[in-house]
Amino acid sequence: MAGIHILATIMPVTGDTANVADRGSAFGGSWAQNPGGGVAQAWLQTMNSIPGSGINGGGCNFAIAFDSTAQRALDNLNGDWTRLKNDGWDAQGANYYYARWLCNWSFPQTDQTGFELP
Amino acid sequence: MNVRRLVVCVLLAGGCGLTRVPSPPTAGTIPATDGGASGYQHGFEGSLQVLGSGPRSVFQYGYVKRIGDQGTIAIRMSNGSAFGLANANTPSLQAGPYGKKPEEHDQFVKEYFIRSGIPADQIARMRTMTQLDASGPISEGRKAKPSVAAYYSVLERGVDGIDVPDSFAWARVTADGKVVAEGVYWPAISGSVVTAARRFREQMSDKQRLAAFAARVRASNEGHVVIRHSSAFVDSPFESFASFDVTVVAQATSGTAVGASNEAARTETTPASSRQSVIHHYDESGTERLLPQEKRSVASEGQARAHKHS
Repeated sequence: MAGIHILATIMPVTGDTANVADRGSAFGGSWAQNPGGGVAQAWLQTMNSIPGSGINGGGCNFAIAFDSTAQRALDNLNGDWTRLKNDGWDAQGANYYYARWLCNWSFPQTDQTGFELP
Repeated sequence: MNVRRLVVCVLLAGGCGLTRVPSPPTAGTIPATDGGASGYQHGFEGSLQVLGSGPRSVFQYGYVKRIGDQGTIAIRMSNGSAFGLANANTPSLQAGPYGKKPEEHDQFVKEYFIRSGIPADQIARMRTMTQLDASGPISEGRKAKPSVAAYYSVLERGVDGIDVPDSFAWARVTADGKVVAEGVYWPAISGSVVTAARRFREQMSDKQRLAAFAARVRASNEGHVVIRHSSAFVDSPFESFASFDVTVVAQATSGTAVGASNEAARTETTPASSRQSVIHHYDESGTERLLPQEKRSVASEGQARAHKHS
């Protein structure tokens, strides 16, 4: 993973990415609101504050961390904005992953029948 | 106190204990002009956001905040938008979602915001967001089973049946009834804008007038009348207007396909992953409008350049 802490992206499922003007400022605003908050969580939550969740149809905001151990991957996925600046937490491998994603629909299932895992 | 010490105190007011935290906007109903739609200001007092112990008031980055050892509520002084965010490693985030099913989470959040002051008749619908987690070793052949980690319930706003997509109120509630994240931006809408939106909707309900309007703006007639307003993330003076919103789908690499309808674009062979949609706004006169957040700001770009070179 060449030192990356977190990969954050949009995962359209049935729709298209909406080219909205305030997705970036909603994400960056989370730092200004609480620098001690989680970066991955901030990316997921941008969906709630932009029109139509920022996706024209069904889709998710997705974040994943890879690292040499499960604990390091989890710690990076849960990392705050201060930790993000610390090169000491750069990924040292890609043996384990932790992924977290927020989808713009109600989904009570916990198996894999409703969607395809990334 | 000598002059040097006084100057240092003025320059570093925080260090001298002189920093004054401004009062946030008054929480509760935001009155509107005659015929308008009242808004709602979220505040520290009514919030259920988890803060933890020792909360203190701070003014930082344009937000007045209450900061505890587990989370923060931040209210943007320029526009009143309010956000509650738990700290990254707060134990409450590990608790599962409230309720046995998403509808119970929705109901909790709806009642919470109505009790706080959001006008119930402006809640057009609820939207549930589902957060899933998965983990495992990369080498493992089978895919890990994802689990539902949280729900977010989002109140979508409507005024007399006309959507107001830039307003929001949302929250995430844990199994023990604690709010670990929330966001509220529900500004008042003036009477003139609501009246214009009703009139615009009436005009567009006539198929012939709708077709003529769509032809004039070179857009699909699949659009709909909404009330648009400034984003929660801009500081410029508040703007709102009645709009005929049209969604256009285009290939991400080729710019906007002006005039292509959403449905028409879907029939193309373009892979979904390379498409994006853009919403265009037209007022009653057929003039295309931009929201403040959609305008490039020479002033802010200048500030950014100055910061970069400083």
